[in-house]
Amino acid sequence: MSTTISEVAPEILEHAADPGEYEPVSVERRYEDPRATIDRDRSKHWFKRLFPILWVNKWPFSIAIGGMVLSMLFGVAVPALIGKAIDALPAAVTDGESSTLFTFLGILVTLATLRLVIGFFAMYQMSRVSNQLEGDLRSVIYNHLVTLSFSFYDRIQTGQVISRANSDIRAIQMFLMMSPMMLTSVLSFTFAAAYMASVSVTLTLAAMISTPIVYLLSMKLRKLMFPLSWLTQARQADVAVIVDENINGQRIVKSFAQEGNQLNLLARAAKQLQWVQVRSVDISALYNPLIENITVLGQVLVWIYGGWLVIDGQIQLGALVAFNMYIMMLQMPFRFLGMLLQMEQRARASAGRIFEILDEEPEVRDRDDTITLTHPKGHLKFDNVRFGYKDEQILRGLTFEVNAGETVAIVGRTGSGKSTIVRLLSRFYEIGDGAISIDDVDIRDLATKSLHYHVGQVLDEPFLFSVSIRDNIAYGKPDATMEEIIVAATAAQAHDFIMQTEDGYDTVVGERGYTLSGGQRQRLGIARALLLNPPILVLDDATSAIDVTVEKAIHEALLRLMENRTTILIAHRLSTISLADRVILLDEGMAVATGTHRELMASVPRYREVLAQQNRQIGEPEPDDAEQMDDESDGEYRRRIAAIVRSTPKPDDFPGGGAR
Amino acid sequence: MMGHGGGHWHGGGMKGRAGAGDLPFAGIPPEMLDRTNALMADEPDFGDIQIEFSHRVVDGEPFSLWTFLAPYKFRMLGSLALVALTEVLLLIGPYLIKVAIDDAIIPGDFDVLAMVGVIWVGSLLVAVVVSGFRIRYVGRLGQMLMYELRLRVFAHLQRLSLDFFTGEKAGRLMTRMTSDIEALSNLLQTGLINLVAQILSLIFIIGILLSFNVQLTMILLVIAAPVMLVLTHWFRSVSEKGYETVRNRIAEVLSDLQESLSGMRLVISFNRMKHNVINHRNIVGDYREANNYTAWISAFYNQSTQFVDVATTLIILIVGYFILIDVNPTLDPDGSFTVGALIAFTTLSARFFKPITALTGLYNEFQSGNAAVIKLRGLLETAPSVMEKSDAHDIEDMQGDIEIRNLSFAYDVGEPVLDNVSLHIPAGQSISFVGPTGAGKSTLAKLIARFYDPSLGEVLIDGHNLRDVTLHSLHNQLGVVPQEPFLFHGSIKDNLRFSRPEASDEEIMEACRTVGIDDMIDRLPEGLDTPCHERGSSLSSGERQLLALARAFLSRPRVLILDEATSNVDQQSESKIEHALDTLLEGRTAIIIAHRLATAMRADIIAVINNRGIMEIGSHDELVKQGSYYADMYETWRTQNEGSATV
Ligand SMILES: Nc1ncnc2c1ncn2[C@@H]1O[C@H](COP(=O)(O)OP(=O)(O)O)[C@@H](O)[C@H]1O
Ligand SMILES: Nc1ncnc2c1ncn2[C@@H]1O[C@H](COP(=O)(O)OP(=O)(O)O)[C@@H](O)[C@H]1O
Ligand SMILES: [Mg+2]
Ligand SMILES: [Mg+2]
Repeated sequence: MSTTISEVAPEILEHAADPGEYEPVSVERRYEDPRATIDRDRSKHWFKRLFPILWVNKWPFSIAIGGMVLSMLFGVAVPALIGKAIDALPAAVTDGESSTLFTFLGILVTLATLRLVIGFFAMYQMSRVSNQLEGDLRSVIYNHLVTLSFSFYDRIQTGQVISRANSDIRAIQMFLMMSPMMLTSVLSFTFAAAYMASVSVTLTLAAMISTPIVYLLSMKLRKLMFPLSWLTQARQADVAVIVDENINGQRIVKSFAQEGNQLNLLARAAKQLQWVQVRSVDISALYNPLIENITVLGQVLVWIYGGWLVIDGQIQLGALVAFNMYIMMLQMPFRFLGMLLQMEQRARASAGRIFEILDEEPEVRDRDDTITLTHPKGHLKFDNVRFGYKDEQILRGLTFEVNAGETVAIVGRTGSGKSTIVRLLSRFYEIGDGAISIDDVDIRDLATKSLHYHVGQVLDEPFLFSVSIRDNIAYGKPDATMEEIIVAATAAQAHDFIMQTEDGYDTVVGERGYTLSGGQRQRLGIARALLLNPPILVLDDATSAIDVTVEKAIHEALLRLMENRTTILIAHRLSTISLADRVILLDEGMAVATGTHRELMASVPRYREVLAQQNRQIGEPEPDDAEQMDDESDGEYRRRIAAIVRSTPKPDDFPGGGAR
Repeated sequence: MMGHGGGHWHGGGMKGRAGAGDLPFAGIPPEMLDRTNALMADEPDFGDIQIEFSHRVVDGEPFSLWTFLAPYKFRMLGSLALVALTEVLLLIGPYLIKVAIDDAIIPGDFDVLAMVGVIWVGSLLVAVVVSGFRIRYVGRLGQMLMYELRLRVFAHLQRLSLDFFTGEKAGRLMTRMTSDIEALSNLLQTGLINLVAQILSLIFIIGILLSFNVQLTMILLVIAAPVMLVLTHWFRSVSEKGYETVRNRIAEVLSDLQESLSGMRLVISFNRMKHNVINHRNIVGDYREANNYTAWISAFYNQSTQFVDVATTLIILIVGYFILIDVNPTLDPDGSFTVGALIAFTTLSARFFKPITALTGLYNEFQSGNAAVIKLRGLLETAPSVMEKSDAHDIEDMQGDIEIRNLSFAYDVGEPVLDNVSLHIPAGQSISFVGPTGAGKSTLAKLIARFYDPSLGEVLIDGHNLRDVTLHSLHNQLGVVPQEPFLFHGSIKDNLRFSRPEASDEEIMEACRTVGIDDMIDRLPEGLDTPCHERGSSLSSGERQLLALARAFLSRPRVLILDEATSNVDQQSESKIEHALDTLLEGRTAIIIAHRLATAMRADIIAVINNRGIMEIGSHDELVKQGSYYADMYETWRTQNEGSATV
C-alpha cells in the first residue's frame, strides 16, 4: 500500500536552533524596500498623506520637471522660427538674399536637436519616478496586508483589494504624473500667448475664441461620460462574475440543469452592458465631432481674419503660419485642466480607498516585552474563554486543559466552534474574555511568530498554492531539503501518489489544487505541517476525505516522528476519535464533558447524541428516533418530510428539455 | 475629508441575483453618486430575456471574421462609405489653406478669402453631422455584434462537458469571454474601419501633395516616409515585446497578490510574512524594470517623431526654396509652384505621418484581433464530449432503476479507472460505494450522472440508455452533491434557490430545516439574505456542506448522489439528513459515497469498489458473512467502537 513507516527518519526533520529562524526566508532580496510610507495622520489631506512617497524621489522628480520645462521652451520657439523662416523666404527667392533664411533654419536644427535630447531625458526620468512610485505603493500595501489579522480577511473581498491595489494605484500615479504636465502646458500657453500678442492682439483673441467653448463642451462630455464609464465597468464586472462562476461552478450548473437559466442571466447582463455602451456611443457621437470641429473653427478664424490682416499689411504671412501652429498650444491648458480636475477626483477617491487598507490596524499585535516560546512541552490551557466573531458568542466560558504529550479529540456539532478553538490557540483572533496559555504562559505574552512556529495546524479544506507540490509542502520552511520534504510526505502517506503524478514533486498543483482529489489535498496539507514537526499539532477534520487505513498509517507515522507531541484532533469519525487519549465534548460554547470515549459513551447522553449512529450496533434494536431529533417529536418530523414529498413536481411539471 | 467614497468596502452590497447584483460602487466620488444612480434609474429592465438553450450544437460554418460579419455585410459597407466621406472632409482644410494664400492673401483679394471661409465652415458643419452619424452607426453595430458573440460563446461553454472544464485553466477560459471578445470588438469597431480610413486618407493626402508639387512629394516619400516607417516599425516591434513583458509581470504581481490574499491564513500561520514580502518586492521590482524599459522606448520614440516632424518641415522649406528659385523665381501666385503651396505642404506633411504611424499600429491590432478569432474558433469548434443526440428523448417521471452494463472508463487512454463493471440498482434502493481513495467511486457516480460517457458499455436509467436521453430531463431529476460545496456569489437564498429558481421562501426554509441548518440561519441577523462572502468563508466547512445539501433537496431530485457530501458534518446532523433522505426519497434511489462506515452501513446495498471494479456487493449482513474486504473494514470499525478510546 504505502511506504512503510520505518523509512521515516525522525531525526531528519530538524528544528530551528534559534528564534531568528522562526521566520524562514529563502529568497534573495533583489530590490531595496520602499524608502517611505504614507503619513499616518488621518486628518491630513490625501495628497499630504501620500507626499512622503513622492518626496523620497525629489531629486529625479525635480530634474525631470526642469528638463520638461526646458524642452517645452524649445518647443514653443519652433513655430515662431518657422514663421520667421517663411517670412525670409520670398526675399531669399527673389533677391538671392538667403543668409537670414538659413540662419533661422540653422537655429531651428539646433533647437530641435536640443529638444530631442533633453525631452527624451526628462520624459524618461519622469516615467522612472512614476514607476518607482507605483512600485513603492504596491509594496507598501502588500507589506501592510501581511501584518493584518484574520478578522480583516473575514471582512474583505479579495477582488476588491486587488482592484484597489491595481486601478486605484494607477489613478493616483496618473494624477501625480499629469500634474507637472499642467505646469508645462500653462508655461507654454503663456509664452505662446505672449508671442502671439506681440504680433497681433486681436488675432490672438480670435485664435482663442473657440477655446472656452471647447473647454465647456469637453467638461460637459466628461460629466456625462463619467457615470456611463462607471456603469460600463460595473456591467463588465457583472458579465465577468457570471462567466467566472459558471466556469468554476460548472459542475453544479450541470447537476441542476441550470444551463438555460444561466444563459438568460448572462444575456441580461450582456444586454445591460450593451445598453450602457450604446448610450456612451450616442453621447460621444454628439459631442466628439462638435469638439473636434470647433477646434478647427479656431483655425479657420485665424486663417481668414489673419489673411485679412496680412492683406491689410498689419502682419506677415510667416506669423500667420506660426499662429496656426500655436493654436494647439493655446488649448492645451484648458484641455488639461478639465482632465486634471477629473483625475483629481478619481485620485482622491482612490487614495481614500487605499488609505482604508493602510489605516487598518492589526487586531492581534505583539506586546512590547514578549516572551519567545522555545521548546514548549505543550501543556495547553483554556480558562473561561469567551469569544464571538461578531455579536454572537460562539464560545461562552470554555475551560479545558490538555496535558503535555497528550492526544485529545474535540467533539461537537457542526458550527459548535471546534475550528474556532483552534484559531484562538494560534491567536489568530483576540479572545473576548478569559485566557489561553501554553506551558502556563498566556499566549498574549508570547511572540506570535514563536507561537505560530510551535503550533502546527492542518485545516479541513487545505488551501494549496498553484506552485509545485514540493513548494507547497515546503511552505513553512522554504529552504527545506528534498530529503526533509520526502520524509514529511511519506509520513503523511502522500509520497506514493506524488510519485505517480507526472512530474513527481515538481508537479504544479492547479488552481486551488483541484487537479487532486480531496483526500490527496488533505494529505499534502498534513505533510506541509509535518515538515516543521511542531510539538503542538492540531488536525482539524484533516482526514475527513481519507480512508480509515491510510488515516491510521498517518497517525502511526506521527507518533514515530515525535514522542510527547501534544495533539488536538477534531473529528466526526470514530476511527479518528479512537486515536485520542481523551475526548472533550463541546456544546453551547463550553466543554461540557471530558473523559475517555468509553466513559463518555457510558455516562454522557449528549455525547451519544452527537455521535448519533455510532452508539447503535447492527443487530441491536434501533434507538428511539426521537432521541436524535433533538427538539422535535418523531411524528412531527415525519409529517414535515411527507409534506415535501407530496410537493414533488409531477413529471409533466418540469420545464421540458429541448427535445419536445 | 478624504473621500471614503460610498464604500461598500466591508463585504455588503452584494445581494441580488448571482452576478447581476448591485454595483461595485465602492469609492465612487460621492459627488458623482447621484448621477450614476440617475443613470441606473434609466436602465430598462431586461429581466424577461429568454434565450433558447439547447445542448445540441448547431451546425454552421466555422467561426471566422468573414462568417461572423457576412450577415452584416451591407451595414459594414455603409460604415466604410461614411468613413471615406469623413476622411475627405478632413482634407478640405489644408487644400483651402493653399487657395487662401495663393488666391486671396498674396493677390490681396478679400472676396476669395471670404468665400474660402464660407466653404471651410460649411465643410465643418457637414463633418460634424457625418462623423456624428458615423460614430453612432458603427458603434451600435459593433455593440450588437458583441452582444451576439457573448451569447454564442457562453452558450457553447454551457454545452461543453465537464472534462473540458477540468482540462482548461479557469483563467484561460475567462479570457475567451473577456479579453478575446474585447480584442475582436476593438478590431471591428475601430481596427477594420480605421484601417480603411487611414489607407484612404494616405491616398488622398498623397494626391493633394502631388497636385502641389511632384518633386517635393517624392522627397517626402523617399526621405521622410522611410525614416518614419523604420522608426515606427522599430518602436512597434520593440515596444510590443516590452509591453508583453509588462503584461506578464503585472499578471505575476496580481496573481501573487491574489494568492497571498486567498492564502493569507496560511501565510500567517506559517510565518511566511518576511519571505513573502521580499518575494513580492522582487516581483514588483521586476515589473517596475519592465515598465522602465518601455518608458525608455516610448520617450525615445515620442521625442524622435517630434524631431522628424521638425526636420521634415526644414527639408521641405529648403527643397521648396530651391524649387521656387528654379521654377518660379518671381513668386507669381499663379505659377506652377507657389509659396501658398509650400506652406500648405508643410501643414499637410504633418498629417501625412499620421496614417503611416497609425497603420503600423493597426497591423498589431489586426493581429491580436485575428488571434482572438482563432482562439474563439478553437473554442466554438470544440465539441462537447458528452453529446446530446438529435433524436434524444426526455426521461419522464424518473423512477431510478439504474443499470450499468459492462462499463469501462478511462480519463486518459490506457489508464482505465473502471474496467467491465456491471451493477443493477433497483428503483427505490439506496446503495453505498465504499473503498479506498482513488478507487473510482466518484468516477462511477459521474458516469451515472452522465458527466462523462463510458468508453465501453452503457448506463441505463429506467431502461433508457443515457446516451439517448436529453441532458436536461436527466439532470433535472438527478441531483449530485460533491464533496466541495461550491457557493455562488450572492446571498444564501440565491444559493439555495439555484437548483430551483421558482422556489418560495417557505420551501427554502423547509429544505434548511431538513438538513438542520435552520437554526444557524435564524441566528444570522440578515437570515437567508446573508451574503455568501468569498464563497462562504465565514461559515464553518460543515455548514457549507449542509447548504449544498439543502440546495440539492430543494430541487426535489428523484435520484440523489451524495459524493462524500457530509464528510465535514457531525454525526448527529448526518443521521438527521439520512433520515430525511429515507423519507424524501421513498420509492426512489440514493447513491451514497462515504468514508464513514456508520453512514455506508445503512444503505440497502453496499458495493466495495477497488481494483477498477466492484469487488464485493451485497447487503451489510451478507458482506459481513462473506468475510472479506468489507468484513475487515467492519471489524476494525467495531473494535474501535467498543474497545478503543480507553487510556
Ligand atoms: N470567520 C468567521 N466569521 C463569522 N462567523 C464565523 C467565522 N468562522 C466561523 N463562524 C461561525 O462560527 C460558528 C463556529 O464555527 P466553527 O468553529 O468553524 O465550527 P466547527 O465546530 O464546525 O468547526 C459557526 O456558526 C460559523 O458560522
Ligand atoms: N478529471 C480527472 N482526470 C484524470 N484523472 C482523474 C480525474 N478525476 C479522477 N481521476 C483519477 O481517477 C481515479 C479515480 O478517481 P475517483 O473516482 O475520484 O476516486 P474516488 O472517488 O474513489 O476517491 C484516481 O486515480 C484519480 O486520480
Ligand atoms: Mg470546523
Ligand atoms: Mg471521490
